[in-house]
Amino acid sequence: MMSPEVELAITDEAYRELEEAVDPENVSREPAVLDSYAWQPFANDNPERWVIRPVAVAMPGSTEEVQALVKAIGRNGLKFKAFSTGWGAYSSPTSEGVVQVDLRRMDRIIDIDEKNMYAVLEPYVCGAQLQAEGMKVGLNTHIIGAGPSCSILASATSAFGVGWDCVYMSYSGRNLLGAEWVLPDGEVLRLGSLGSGKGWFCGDGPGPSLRGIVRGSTGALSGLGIFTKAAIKLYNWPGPPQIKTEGLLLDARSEVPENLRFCMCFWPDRKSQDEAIYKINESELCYIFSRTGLGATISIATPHLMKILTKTKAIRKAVTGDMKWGCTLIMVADSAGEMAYKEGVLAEIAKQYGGAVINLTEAKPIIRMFLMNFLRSTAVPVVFRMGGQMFTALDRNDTWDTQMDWAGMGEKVKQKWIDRGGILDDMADNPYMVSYEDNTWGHCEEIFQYDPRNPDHLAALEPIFVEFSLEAVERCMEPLSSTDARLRKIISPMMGHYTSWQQKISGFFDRDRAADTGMYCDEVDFDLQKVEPDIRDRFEKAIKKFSWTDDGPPE
Amino acid sequence: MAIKGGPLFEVTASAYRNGVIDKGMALFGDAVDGVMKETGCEMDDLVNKMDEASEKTVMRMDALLAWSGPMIRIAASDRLMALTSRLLDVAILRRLGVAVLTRMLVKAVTA
Repeated sequence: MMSPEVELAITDEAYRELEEAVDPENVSREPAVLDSYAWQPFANDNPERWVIRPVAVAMPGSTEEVQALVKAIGRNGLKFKAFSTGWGAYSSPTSEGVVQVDLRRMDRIIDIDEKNMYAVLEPYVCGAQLQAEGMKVGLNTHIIGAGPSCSILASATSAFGVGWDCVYMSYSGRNLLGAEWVLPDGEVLRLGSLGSGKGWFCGDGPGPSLRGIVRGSTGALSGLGIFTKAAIKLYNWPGPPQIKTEGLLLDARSEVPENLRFCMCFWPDRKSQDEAIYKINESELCYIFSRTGLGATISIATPHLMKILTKTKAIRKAVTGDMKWGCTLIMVADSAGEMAYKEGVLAEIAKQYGGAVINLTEAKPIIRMFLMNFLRSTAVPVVFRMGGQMFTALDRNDTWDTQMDWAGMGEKVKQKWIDRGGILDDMADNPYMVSYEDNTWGHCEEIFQYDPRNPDHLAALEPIFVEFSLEAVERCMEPLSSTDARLRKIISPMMGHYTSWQQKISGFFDRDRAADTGMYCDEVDFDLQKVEPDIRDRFEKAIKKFSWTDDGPPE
Repeated sequence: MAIKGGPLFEVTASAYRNGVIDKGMALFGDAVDGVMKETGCEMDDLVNKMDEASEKTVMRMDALLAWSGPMIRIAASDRLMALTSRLLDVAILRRLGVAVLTRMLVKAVTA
């Protein structure tokens, strides 16, 4: 728990200034309240440690209040960390002396422009909320894999952005059509056409765009300020204005729209699968597309059964061998004729590549349960059922073939740690894969599940993280590094010393160092002592081989 | 030359090619609806029942699958699947199939 010095980290005077900025009832430094923010076991490699407790929490209700708050925080030598809807440790302080700026009072959808297909919203608007409102006017929003309770604005401006609907609705950062941005000094910057008083229709320009600075690889996670409004591109929804649903998760019963098909496809081998997926994307068939191992589906729906199935031989071989190569997709259409065309194209692709399509839409009770779990990405929480915790190993978005290589590698690394008892056995093949924009590029995360009460699992987390990172580096891929200040320091020299550029950007926007930049540009050393010597050696060799010199990239 | 997958994939592919999967999915859905009506269970109850399967039951199924290689190869035959597909076009056989499947599932759920 916190030391007395830390508990007194905010002075009465500084606290009074926070109260003046947002009204006393919207500020707290009560330990119990602060600990409710510090309890963030996900993406925290030591759940016993919690995350660093903020010195206070403040809840602004408007852009003006955010400005006043940020200025008060800067004046008092504190730092801020924004929290929209939160997702694990990513929204938490990374150092002492941080005020958690909880944006939950900023929860309005300000406008849905039906004609131009975008919405203007505040940080606490979640995916489910925007989707429900959008569907009423025939529109839909991209929802990230973390689920429908997550902030649309946060994933578009400041964090990750992948989800099952990426095939049709792209990646969060690419849907950003303008933003209102409170800089670390409290000034407001409006991006895109909004900055010229021309409304929200374009997120870039005039002149050079700042989108790259806002987003970088994954966003600055509040390290460059606080986004208070954003315009988000919306997409066509050909279904009904409301999908009537009762229940949740495995208990859900939804009315299935007429022109919707939910299909699982299987292919004889990897090559056929990959070629078929390229064809499916080229043909623009999908509204939802994912590739997840069959074992993964079993492990999240029936985690106890999975523990027994891992002891089997024939069933295991069937799941990880015979039925290994597959994908799941949802097709929607504006008319029965369009759906018939799409079904025909899918059948033709299945014929061409020797595949099998299981149309689950015909199995009514199954599709009623699955529909919103996929369409709204509601199923995600069940991945925590098996062990209580999970984490992921990803490289950066890349071509589908490359991502399949990553999935294969991930399976091998996972199997090694399953055999050692470092993580739970989910039959190893558990990639979370999507494709983007009906195109040839995609995303792959290798999910692994663990029990945070098991000391062996906790001890394995860091070595696994390092091993996955090494595998990415050796393949010239970018590992999951943006949020880890230690790994950023290691990989930066191999990626054009990008952290030095981020430090310059941070220095320009944040001269008084008011933002908590631990997940953006404050790098620290990585103690690799817990890592096996041969992995350490390989890492050192890779660093030597791939590091940039003053003359540019290595030969 | 057509690429061969594993035996279970080949059964699935053959069933798909001959329309058995499409017809079978509808029957399976009707059977599950029947189970829910008869037992008062919802989908999550059924999934949870499956999740509670004993090790003995699962291992028995594993052994059955391990020994059923020749049967699976026969089941993957396009001729057999084409015949099955035609049989599933007969209304009375469809109803019988749903009834048998429902009975089996009810037995499994209430065991």
